[in-house]
Amino acid sequence: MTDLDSLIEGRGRSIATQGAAPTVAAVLAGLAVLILVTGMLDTGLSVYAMNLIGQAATFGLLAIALDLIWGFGGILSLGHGLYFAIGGYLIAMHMVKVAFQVTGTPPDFMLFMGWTDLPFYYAFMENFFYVALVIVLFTGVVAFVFGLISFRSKVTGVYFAIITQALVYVAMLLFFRNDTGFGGNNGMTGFVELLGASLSDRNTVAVLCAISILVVALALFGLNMLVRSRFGHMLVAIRDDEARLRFLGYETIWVKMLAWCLSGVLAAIAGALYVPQVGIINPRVLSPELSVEIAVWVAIGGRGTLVGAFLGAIVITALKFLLTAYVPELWPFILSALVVAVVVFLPNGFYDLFEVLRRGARRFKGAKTVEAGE
Amino acid sequence: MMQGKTALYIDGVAVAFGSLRAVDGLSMLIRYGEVRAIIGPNGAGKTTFLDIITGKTRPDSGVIELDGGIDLLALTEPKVALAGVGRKFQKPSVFEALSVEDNLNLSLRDPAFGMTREMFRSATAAERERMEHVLETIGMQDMQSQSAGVLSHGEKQWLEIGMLLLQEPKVLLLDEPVAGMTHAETERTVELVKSLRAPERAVVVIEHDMSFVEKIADVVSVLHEGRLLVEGSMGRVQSDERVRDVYLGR
Repeated sequence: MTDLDSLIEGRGRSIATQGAAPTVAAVLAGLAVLILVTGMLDTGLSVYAMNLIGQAATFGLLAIALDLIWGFGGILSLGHGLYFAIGGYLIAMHMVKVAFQVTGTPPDFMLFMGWTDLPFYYAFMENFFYVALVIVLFTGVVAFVFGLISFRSKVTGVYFAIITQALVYVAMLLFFRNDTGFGGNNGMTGFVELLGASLSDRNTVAVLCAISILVVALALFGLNMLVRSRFGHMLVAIRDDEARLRFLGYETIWVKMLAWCLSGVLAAIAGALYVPQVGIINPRVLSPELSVEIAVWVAIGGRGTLVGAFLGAIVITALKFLLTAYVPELWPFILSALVVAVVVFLPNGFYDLFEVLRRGARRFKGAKTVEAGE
Repeated sequence: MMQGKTALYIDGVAVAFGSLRAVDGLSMLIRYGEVRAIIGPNGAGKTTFLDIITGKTRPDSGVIELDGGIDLLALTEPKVALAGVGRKFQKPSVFEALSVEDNLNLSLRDPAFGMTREMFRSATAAERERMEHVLETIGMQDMQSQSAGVLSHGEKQWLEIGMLLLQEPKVLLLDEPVAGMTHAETERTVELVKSLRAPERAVVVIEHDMSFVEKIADVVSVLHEGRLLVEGSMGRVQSDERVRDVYLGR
C-alpha cells in the first residue's frame, strides 16, 4: 500500500450521514418538468440552451456513476469513458440505421468502405427497445468481465486505475479504425430521428433535455438510498478496510462487482442520452483525457457525496464552455490549477469550501464579539 | 488446568518465504474454554501463524482443523470466518467512515445467508439485542452514533473486539490487543479479555506485554524461529532457561 494508493482510495473519508441528494433530486425533477412544459409551449429557454443543459445533465450522471465506485468504494476508474462510449455508440448505431432506412442515404462510412449494406451486428438495431436492452446488458457484461478479472486478481489502487485507462485507450485505437463499421475516426453522425421524433424539433430537444435531467434526479435519489443501505456500508467498509470485512465472513468481490457494474451501466445510459443531443459520436469520447476529466469533476465536487460529483461536473463543464470560448489556450492551465488547488486545500472538494466558508464566518463573528466585549 | 474439547488442532505447519522459514513445523492443541497466549521475540512467526489459521497465508505443509474435523486450510478468508474463527488485527481495524453502530451491524453475518441477501437485509430484533449487549460489554453504549474514525486508539480496539464478539466465534484470535494502549486502557482490556472466556470458545492472544499475558493466560506457548519452544503455565514458562535465553538473545 503506497501513499498514492491511500490518496486514491480515500480511506476513512467521512460520508455525509444526511445527504443533500434527495433535495437536489427533487429540485432537478422540478426543473425537468419546467423545461418540458415551457419547451412544449414554445416559451422559456432557446433550443440551444436546452440542448446544452441536457448535455451537461448527462455529464452529471456520468460523474455520480463514477462517484459510486470511487467515492464510496475507493475504486478509481480512469477509463469510465469506455462505458459512456458504449452507450453512445449503441444509440448512434440505432439512429444511423433508422436514418438509413428513412432517407435511403447510406452513412458516410459505408460509402468510403464501399459497403452496400450495414454489417451484421446492425441486425435489429432499428428497434429502439432492443437497443435499450443491449445498452444495459452489453455494458453490464463488459463491466462484469473486466471487474471479475481485476477484482479476482486483487488489482487495486493505482494499478486498477492504470488498467482502466489502458483499456479505454485500446478501445480508442480500435474505434479509430475505419473498417469496424462504427465510422472510424469520423465517427457517426447525420442522425435524423429517435422513436419517430425529429431530432431538430424543438419539442424533441425539450423532451431529451428533460429526460436527461430526470434520469440524473432518479439516479441521485436511488444511489443516495443505496449508499445508505447495508450494501452501501459494505462498499465503504471495503474502501476503509477490505481485509477486515473479509475476515468478518463476506465475499467482498460481489459487493464490488455490483457497484462496478451498476456504475458502468449508469455511465452507458449517460452516453446514450448524450449522443442524440450532441448529434455526433467519434472515438474522441474514448480518449484518456475525457476519462481523466470525469475523475476531475468528482474530485473537485467532492468524493463520496453524489451531489458534489454532480455539481463538479456541471460547474467544470460550464467553466469549460465559457472559458474555451474566450481564452481557449488558457483552459488546460486553469483546469490543472483547479485540480492542484482542490487536492492541496480542499481534499473533499466543494464540500470543504462550504466548511471553510462557514469556519471563516464563525471566526469573523467571533472577532466581532471580542471587539464588542472590549 | 482446564481440559476442554479440542478447538484447534495444529500439526506440523510450516511455511517459508524464500529462504526464511517463518513457521517451521509447528504443532499445537488449543482447547475450548481456555485463554492461550502466544509469545515470542520479534520474527518468531506469531503473526504468520495467525495468517495461516485465517487463510491469509497458505502453508507449505501441515494440518489445521477446527472443531475436530473442519479443514481450515481448504477455506478462503471469509469461509474461515464463517466456520467460526474471528480475528483481531494488530493495528486497530474498524471502518472509520461508519458509525460505531454500523460497524457492529456489519458484524452480523448470518452463515445461512448468501451475499445477495446479506447486502440488503436489516438486523433482526434478536440481533439488535445482541448488539446492545455487546455495546454494554465493550462499554460503549453512549457512542453508538459516533463515527469510528474519531474514537481513541483504545476505543477502536474495543470496538473491533466487540465486532468479533457479535460473530460469536468458536476461536477468537487477538493480535497484540494492548499494543499502544495506556495503562488504564490495558487494565480495561484485561477485564474485557477475561469476560471473553467461555466454555464454548477458545481465545488465542498474541502479545508482547508480559504483565498482560500473566493476567489473562491459562496456557502460554513460546515461539522461537517458527517453532514451539516451551508450553505451559506462565510461571513455568518464566522460569524456563531456554525462554530466558531466547529473550535475552543468548
